[in-house]
Amino acid sequence: MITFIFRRTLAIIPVLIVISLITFLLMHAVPGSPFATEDKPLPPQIQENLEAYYYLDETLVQQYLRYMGNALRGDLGPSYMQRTRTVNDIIRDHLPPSFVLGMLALFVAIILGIPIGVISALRQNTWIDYLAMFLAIAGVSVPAMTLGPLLIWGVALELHLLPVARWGTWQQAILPALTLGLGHAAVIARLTRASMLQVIHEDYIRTAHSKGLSERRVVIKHALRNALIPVVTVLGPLFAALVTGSMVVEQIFAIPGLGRYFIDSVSSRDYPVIMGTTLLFSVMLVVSNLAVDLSYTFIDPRIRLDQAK
Amino acid sequence: MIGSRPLVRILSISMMLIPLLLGTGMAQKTLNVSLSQDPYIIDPTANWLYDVPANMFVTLVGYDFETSTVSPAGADSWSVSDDGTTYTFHIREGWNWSDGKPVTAEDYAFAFERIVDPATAAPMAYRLYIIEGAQALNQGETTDMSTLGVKVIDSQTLEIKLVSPASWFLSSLGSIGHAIPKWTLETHGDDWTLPENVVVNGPYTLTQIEAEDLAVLEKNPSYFAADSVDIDTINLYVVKEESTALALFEDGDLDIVSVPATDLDRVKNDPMLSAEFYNGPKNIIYYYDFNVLQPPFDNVKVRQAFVAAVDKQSIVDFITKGGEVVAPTLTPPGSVGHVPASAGIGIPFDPEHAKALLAEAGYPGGEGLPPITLAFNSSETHSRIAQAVQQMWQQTLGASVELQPVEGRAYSQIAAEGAFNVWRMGWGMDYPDANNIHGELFTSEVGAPAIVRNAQYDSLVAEAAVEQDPARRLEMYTEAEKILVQDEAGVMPIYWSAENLLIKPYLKPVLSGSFNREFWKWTLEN
Repeated sequence: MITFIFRRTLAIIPVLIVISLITFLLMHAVPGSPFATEDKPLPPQIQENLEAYYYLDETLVQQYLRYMGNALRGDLGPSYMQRTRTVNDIIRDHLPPSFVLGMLALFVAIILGIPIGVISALRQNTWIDYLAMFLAIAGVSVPAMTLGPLLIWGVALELHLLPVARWGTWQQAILPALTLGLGHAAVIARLTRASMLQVIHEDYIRTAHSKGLSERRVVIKHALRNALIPVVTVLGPLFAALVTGSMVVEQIFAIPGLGRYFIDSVSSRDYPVIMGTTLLFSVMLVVSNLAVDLSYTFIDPRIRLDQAK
Repeated sequence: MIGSRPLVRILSISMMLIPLLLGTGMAQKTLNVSLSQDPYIIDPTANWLYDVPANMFVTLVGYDFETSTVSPAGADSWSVSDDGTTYTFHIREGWNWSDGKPVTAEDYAFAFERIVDPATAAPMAYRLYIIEGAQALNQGETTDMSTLGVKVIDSQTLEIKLVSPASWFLSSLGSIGHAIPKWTLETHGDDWTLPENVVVNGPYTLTQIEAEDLAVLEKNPSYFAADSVDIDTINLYVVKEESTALALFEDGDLDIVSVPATDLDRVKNDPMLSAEFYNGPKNIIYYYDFNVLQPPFDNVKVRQAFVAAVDKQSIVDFITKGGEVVAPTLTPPGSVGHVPASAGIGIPFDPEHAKALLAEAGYPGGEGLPPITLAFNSSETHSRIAQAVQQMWQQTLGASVELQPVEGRAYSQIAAEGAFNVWRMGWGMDYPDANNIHGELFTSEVGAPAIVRNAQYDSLVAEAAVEQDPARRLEMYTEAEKILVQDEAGVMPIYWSAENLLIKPYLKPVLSGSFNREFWKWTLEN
């Protein structure tokens, strides 16, 4: 187990180098200057001053080495769009709200998705199953862009139960967490249902039943545990995606999160921010996938990591 | 023990009352507004955005949009030499920075030096190229700051020497050259704008800032007109989604908000909201450029035909619907050099004339016209306007028009170089003078490579920039507009934008077509 973790952690380094190189080349291949406004290209001299200020007048190789050298020392560089802030500042200030919101949304997704999936599998082809799957399809189909304003209108403006937007109190976290989590709850419900349906027709479940075990014990201890493996597999990437922020939900609820930096940095050619957010997401993804692999051993003792290739 | 309870209760109640009683004597006035950009952008030198810093640092002069005149600000008086090239400003006396240091001519001189210094890489530095030595310094030809035509004569006198007379120069100083406290930069470096370090000479100081979340401004008692500043605290919340800002306004969390186009009909029809609705002009021109490097728009008759075929009125009536004003010319109303409609400049909507012009150009009924590409930077409104124009050109002229949405950042550059036949542009006034449009966008020297070039237009714009007589200037700009939008039809102005706001009845803002965030002029009724 220890050697497995050690080996996988070491493997992160080449992965990150390859990702940083590809991202760096791609972003410089896209035309457009970080300093032009949409209304008017900057006068050439001003453009040159700005490029020199951020070392963009160097060759790409020099720029990449400069970036990686600084990044290794923990300095992810400046943001072109916000003169006085660095990428480190941006991640430090904006990752926490996104992380909290993402964890809450993940909680919503799991706490609703798994039970609904289990119940509709056990009551397959009854009205409960149909209702649950109808809700799941609705949840997948209604985008956050629609659900968010709908919740603001209904819950905040009409019923006055919760604040409209902004971030800081637990009340303010509820609507965005639901907006972000419900769609994923639907996905998890469908996945859990499909996986449960497969498992409950296995021989060993029949054996468990015939041993006289209670329905509850069969479902939770024998069926669900095995059915969870595909669910846990998607939770890894889902975790990485949720905790690094959602542009749409954060914008709708005016949350100072990291989500918009993933999109805005690309459209504004804010190179260091593109690099920083991409590397951050890569680290999250690799680490959460590692956590998923480790969790398999707890769910299914037959899986042994040390022998895995 | 039991007997002491009422006493405790009375004591604690009276403790709670103390702040209430104290508070009634000096009611704090708090304004809640939204920001659509991150408030971390505070340094007025390094950025284009002034919502927060303009309330903290004072420029030499201000601009009064109601009377269209330059007004005293950091300088309480000024004079111009007879040849129009030397400006002498007298800085207010007895006025201190918030740390107690007096405000002097040095603070202003430093501001100008900092903008032209190439090491600062200030994006708007080119606007100061009219000052002696500024261009050479900014382009790195010399590093000797003493060559800059900004001189401190004594502690309260600042002299600025220009390369040539420039009638627009004074009004342009309303949005550039905010006084900068040099000593705080020397101590704190880039962190000089943080609340714990910042020293201001304007109406407000920054007391709190949370990136992407909020900025709090508090009244600065050392401001020279602090007595006339009505609002004590301003909370600026970062809300990027317009419809969320509107919901916050409806819930009472914001006092003023801009109305998104999609909600205009609802707001106007709502009995309560319509009473709080404000519609006014906004100094932004929305226009299309023609690419004259390629056929068919290398032919002036084709350009004129395409302009005459566009029904601008129906664009503002049925698409934008926000009270925009059809623009026959470029410079918006309220700016010096705006050509009044009575001058009859511009190409009016006239489908028959458009067809005739196109036939004269050798394309009767659109026969032989190459396919036209019409580009715009991707946005819902731009796209809907482009669709309408596409249809007008197809129906009236028989032209086949292909729409080309382009993602933001690369757009202006590749369009300027001639990648499309027609492309959308927009320009918000930095200062209310026609020079800001003609002198910075369309002359041969500064214009996009693909737009029309006209020597007579160039010399008119150059002359108008130095002409001192307002009546003569207007004549020159009228003639220049006639050449650009009518005779050459190199540019098609479409409309001047409008501001659509909701304002709580207790708030009395001062609104103008340009900079709308002069909070020190606003009042709140209790």
